Parts: sequence; structure tokens; C-alpha cells
Amino acid sequence: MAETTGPQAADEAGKVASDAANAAKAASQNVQKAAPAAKPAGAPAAGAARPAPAARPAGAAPAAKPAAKEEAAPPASPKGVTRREFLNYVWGASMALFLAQFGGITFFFAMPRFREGEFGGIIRVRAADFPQANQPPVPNNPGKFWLVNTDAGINTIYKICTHLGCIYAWSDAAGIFACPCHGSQFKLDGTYIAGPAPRNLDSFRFRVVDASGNALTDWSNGTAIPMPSGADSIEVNTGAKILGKSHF
Amino acid sequence: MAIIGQKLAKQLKTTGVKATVAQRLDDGFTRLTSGLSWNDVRSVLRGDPPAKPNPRVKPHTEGFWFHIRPTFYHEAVTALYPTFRLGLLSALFFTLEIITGIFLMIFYTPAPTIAYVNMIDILTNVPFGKFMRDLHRLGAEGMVIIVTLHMLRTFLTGSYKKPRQFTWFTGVVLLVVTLFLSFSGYLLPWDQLAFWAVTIGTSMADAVPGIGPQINLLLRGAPDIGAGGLLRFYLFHVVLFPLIGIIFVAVHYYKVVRWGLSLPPELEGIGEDNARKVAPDKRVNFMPDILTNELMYAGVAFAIIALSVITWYGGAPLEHHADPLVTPNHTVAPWYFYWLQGLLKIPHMIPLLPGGIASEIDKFFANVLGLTPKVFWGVIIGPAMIGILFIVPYIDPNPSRRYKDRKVMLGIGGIFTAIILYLSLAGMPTGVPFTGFGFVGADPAAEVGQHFIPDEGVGPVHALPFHQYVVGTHTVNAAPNTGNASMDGLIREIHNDMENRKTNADPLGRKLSADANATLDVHQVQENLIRVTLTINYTDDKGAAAQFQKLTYLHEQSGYSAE
Repeated sequence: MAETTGPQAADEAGKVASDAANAAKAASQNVQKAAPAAKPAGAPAAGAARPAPAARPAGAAPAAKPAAKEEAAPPASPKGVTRREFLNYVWGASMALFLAQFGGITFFFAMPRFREGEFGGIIRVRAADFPQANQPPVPNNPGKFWLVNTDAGINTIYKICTHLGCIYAWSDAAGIFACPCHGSQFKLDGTYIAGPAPRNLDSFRFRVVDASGNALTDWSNGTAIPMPSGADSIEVNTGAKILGKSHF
Repeated sequence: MAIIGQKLAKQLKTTGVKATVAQRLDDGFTRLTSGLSWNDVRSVLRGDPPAKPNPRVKPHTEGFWFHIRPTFYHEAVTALYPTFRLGLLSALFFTLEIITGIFLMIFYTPAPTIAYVNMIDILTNVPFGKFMRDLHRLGAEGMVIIVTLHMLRTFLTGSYKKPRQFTWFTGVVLLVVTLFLSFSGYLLPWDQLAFWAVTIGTSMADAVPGIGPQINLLLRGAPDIGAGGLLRFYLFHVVLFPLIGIIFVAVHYYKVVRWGLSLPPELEGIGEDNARKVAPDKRVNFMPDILTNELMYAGVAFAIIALSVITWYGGAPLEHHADPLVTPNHTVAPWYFYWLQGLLKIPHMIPLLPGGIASEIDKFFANVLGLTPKVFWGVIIGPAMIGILFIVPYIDPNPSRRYKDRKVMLGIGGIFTAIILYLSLAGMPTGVPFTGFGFVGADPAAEVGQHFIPDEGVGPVHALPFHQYVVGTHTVNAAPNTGNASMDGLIREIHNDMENRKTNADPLGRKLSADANATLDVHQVQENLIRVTLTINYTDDKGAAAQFQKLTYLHEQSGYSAE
């Protein structure tokens, strides 16, 4: 019958192409061609092995019982996936997909909403507020930075320790920045000295402007800039933080 | 309705009004107890032996509250050893935290503008508010201790072994929940302690490679801790973690009912588990023996913690209002996270190597693997030390629960505990004694100030009662003569502390200069307000004259001392 179509077709193809060097290849191609033809014919036969739901006598309770019994019995061949099992997998997968989507939505929902740079802005500091070279730094609390002045020039250093976010303090006696939380130490210019901090202190971009607001320098790139003559004030961009250099 | 009426009428006719009412009441009572009539309960209370079949098993099989408890214990586990009742005690403390927590929730709003005011209100204005807060705080810390001891006990008696591996696993989940519950509650008072402990905690999350910044944003609700972060931590504290806790307590309890309490190791053969196969003569029924015992235990536990709060416990601290611009000196994690703070202080990937070599190794790891010491010790090793606890029952190949067969595992446990204790020492600002590892300190003059007038909390200057202060500027020396013995005592204490710092260098090799001298100035600001200023003159590292000054205000009714 239908089941034998495949092998028969292969046999025939094998005979026809027996001389050809690519006999095996041709045979396999023919099998693939013949297989789809076998399927529609095979399906009713497989269905006939088990009583189709439609074939059950509807309404008759005693007659339905044996059918139920048959279903409850362990399946004769555990190899195949039944339609019910397959649909349960599909159903489970769709639920998993839904949960994944829900998780994704929850993530975006829980993410705080703010715009890039919302917490920063241009803060203007008078040039006269800077300390003399190598003198103790001057804090600027609204911008959370230190005004420092070293031999290399002036800089604006972010007040937060690069280790775990504590506010480090200036130690007058030792002339260093020291963090009270885990003991990291930094020089006046922000260079790492000791402790668990991974990098130098972070700094903000700044530029020097004169009394009429003309820029005397470019925006800084993290390194100190010598104070130019005629400087009136310094514009500090607290939205642009430059990470300190890693000492690793 | 009519049928009920007919039945009632028939019963009234046959037995009379009094008996009918009594019988109906007893029916209702039996429903409430899931199967025990009033006479059954009386026989429980009298301690009568149970009837056969034992009606006292019914609440275990039919009721909710008793079905999470076993119907009987082996008599060997009813003594204090081997359980010490620590599991029960953990659950009791969890209950205590829920009750006191709900009380505190009534008077608390999770917003930075009002949270601290709410705390002051709870402490000063709400009847029993301070008592409830102290109970909540002491209960939380007690719970961390008890849960840890419970785990330690389970480890020592080998009770995590087959078939109780998963019970142990859920127990470690509960340990983590306990720690997170405690830590998430830290932020709520919105004081300095809260703000900086949680800033450090979330900064650690930030250091997780890849997803760290996202986790940090989810936790803080903004780049910095503020209104969003406070609300989120509040919700973690009152909703998420308690929910996870309750779910896992239920699983944990179910497993205890399923497998019973493990017997003392010496009572069983190796690899055996006889906790549910108890001979009738060895059984102790839950009702009434265990039940009354546990009620007594609960009563004593609650009495002890309530008395502790009233007597020796000085009260849960409330520091100054959170200030994002100042990190106080000696900022520390909660004590149960000292070990983690100690780990975070390790500056190199491989400690104890000479500095140059250690730095080269750090560079290799950072450049080749992208791994810095902070990430390695804080984010990988720290959580791994908890993570290893989860898999202990699954990697321990030894079937024996007997102490003498488990020398290796007990040794590993001892080493683990010693490491935690060592790291905890390193986590404190004073660091590890002798080696000085973990020491975090300002320069010596500032440390004198921190000792006598700490940034947060009460120091000796606060502790001296208001009326013992003598107005004027007093030189700090060995023989002060202010006219008040207590005041002289304080000055001598400052003098001795300074002399000590002149001769003994701190772990970073710093000494107070030999010529350092100090004054203590007491200034009357108002009739009942004084300002105490400590001024230390010394020579700094560069040989220049320097001055350190620290002051504090004391009000007649500040209440720092028991005057």
C-alpha cells in the first residue's frame, strides 16, 4: 500500500541509476521526493490504529468507558510525541514567552526615568575662588566638586570616591584626600596613592572665561589647565564627567 | 432553612434547650479547632493521655496551622540539644518583626522630606514608639544572629545531609532574605548611617561587570540615592523580601514536616534516617507536650527581648539627617556585613605580596580579564562565600553525620568561620589587631577629635553631664584643675589619649607631633546651652604649625547622659 511506495520508488530509482557514479545520491533524492507522497496516504492508516474521537459512539456512557480506559493505559510506543504533548509544549512555550515579555516590561517599567545630563549643568565659579597653588582645595557643594590648584594648573575634581561612592575628605595634616569608608588616598591633583580605589579621582570638564564671557581655554579633558591671565570665572560642566585614569 | 429548623426543633424536643445549645456550641468549637471538641481540649490542657484513635492528630491533618508542624517528635530531639529550638526562634523573631514593623509603618512615610521627621516623631511623640522601634531593631539584629546560629547548628550536626539537602537550600535562601531584610531597613530612617551604608551597598551592585549600572539604577531609582531610592528600598523592605521570606518559610516548614527533625547523629546508623520511623514509646506528641513547650519558649523569648530593650539596650541609633555631601568619619556597614567591608578593603587581587609584584598582577588581571580587585573581592568572592553555602549538601560526599567521621568538613567549617571573623575585624575602622589590615583613620589629631567628639553617635564629651562642665578655656594637661572632678577626668582622658598617639604610631605609621598641645573651651551660648570646642595645635608632616578644631553643642536636656 501507501507505506511501500517509498522503498519501491527508491528501488526503482536504484535500478535505473545503477551504472551511474552518483547512484546513492540519486536514490536518496528520490526517497526524499517519494516521502511526502507517502505521508498523506499513511496518516489515515495511523489514525485507524486508535479509535478516532469522532468514531466514538456519542452519548452512550457505557460505550465511552472502554475508550477512556484505553486512553489511560500507558502508551504502547513512548517514542513519538503525541499531538496533546506537542500542544502542551507549544502552550508552555507561549506562556514562557509571555512571562519573558512581562519581565522585560517590568524592567523598563522599574527603570527610573531621567534624561542624560539631567543631574548636570554648567556651574560658574569665580577664578578668585580657587586656592593658591598647592594650597588646600576649596569645595563647591552645589556641583559636588573640589576646586584644586597645583603646579600643573587648576582642575575641578568630583567629590565622590572612585571606589564605592563615599565623599572623601581633605586631610590638612597629610596634604591628601582620604576616604573615610575604605581608606583610599589621593594626592591633591586626584592621583591615586593607596587603598582599594581602582582609579584616580574623576573630574568635570571646565573652561576659563574672561569678564565679558569669552572663552580663554578649550573645555578641559580631565587634566589640569594653567590659569590664563585675565581669567574672570570658570564654567564647570557637571554633566560631563571624565573618569580618572586607572592605575592598573 | 426549613430543614435546619426542623432538625433544630426535633433536637430541642428530644434533648431539651440546655443540651442542644451546649451541643451546638461544641460543634462550632470543634470547627474552629479543626476537630477537637471542648472536652478534647480540656484533656489536652490536663495532660491526659490521648484517646484511641488519637483525636489530637486531626488538627494536623485537617487544619492549616498545625499541618505545618509534625504530629510527633522523637524524644531525643525534644531536649535543648540538638536543635536548641533555633529554627522556632527564627520564626518567632520573623513574626515579631512583622508585628512591630506594621506598627512602625503606621507612623512612617517613605519620602526624604518627611522620613527623618517621622523617626523623631516615633521616638518622642508616639506612645511606645521608641519601644517598638527598639524592638524592631534589636529583633532584626537578633534574627541575623539566630538564623546564623541555626545554620551553624545544622552544619555541626550534619542535618543538611540526605534527605534534607533541599531543606538546607531553602534555609540559605532564608539567611539571604534575613540579611537583605535587615539591610533594606537600614535606609528608612534617612539618617547619615542609612544613607552611606546604602550608598556603599548599591555602589557594589554598580561594580558588577556589564549589568551593574542597570542594577544600580533599578535599586536607587536615580543615579544617586534620593526619593526614588528611599521608596524602592521601602517597598523591598515591606513587600518584596517579606513575601519571599514567607514563601520560603512555608517550604522550609513543609520539608520539616515531611522529613522530621534529624535525630542526634549518634542515635542513627551511618547513612540512615530514622526521624519518621519512631517507635511508639519514643514518640512525643506535638499536642500537648511540644505545643506547650513552644508557647513557653516563645513567651520567654519575647520577655527577654522586651526586657533587653527596656534595660541594657541603649536604643536603636538615629544619626544626623542624611547629608549627601558629607560622609562621616568611621562610616561602617552594619556589623553583619563587616566581613564584606573587610573584603572590599583588599587593595590587590592577590594580597600579602610585595607592593610592586601585587600591582603587576593587578595590571595583568585588569588588562587581560577586565577584573579589578573591587569586582573580584566584593562582587565575586563576597557573594560566592554565601553561594558556596547553597551547595554544601550537594558536594559533601560523606554519608556519615557523626562528628568523628566528619573531621574534614568540620575543619573546613571552622576555617570558613575564622575567615569570616577575620574579615569582620578588617571591616571595622580599627582594622585587624597587630597587622593593622583594614585600618581607616584620619590623621592623629583628627582621630583625637573623632574619639572625643565623634561625627555621629555619642563620645566622651557628650557623655559628660551638662552640669559637670565648667565654663572657660581649659588647658589639656596631666593635672587639670577646673574645680570639677568629672571635668578634670575628661581632660585627663584627652591628655592620655594624646600622649598615647604621640608615642604609638597608628597602623599607617602616623604619630601626633611631640609638641602637640590642646585646649578644651566651654562657652555658655545660652542659659541652658554650651558649646564645647577641642583645639589641638601640632606640627604637621611638613614641619609647619597646624591646628585641628572640633566643636559640639550640649543642651541641658540633650539626654546623652543619664544625669
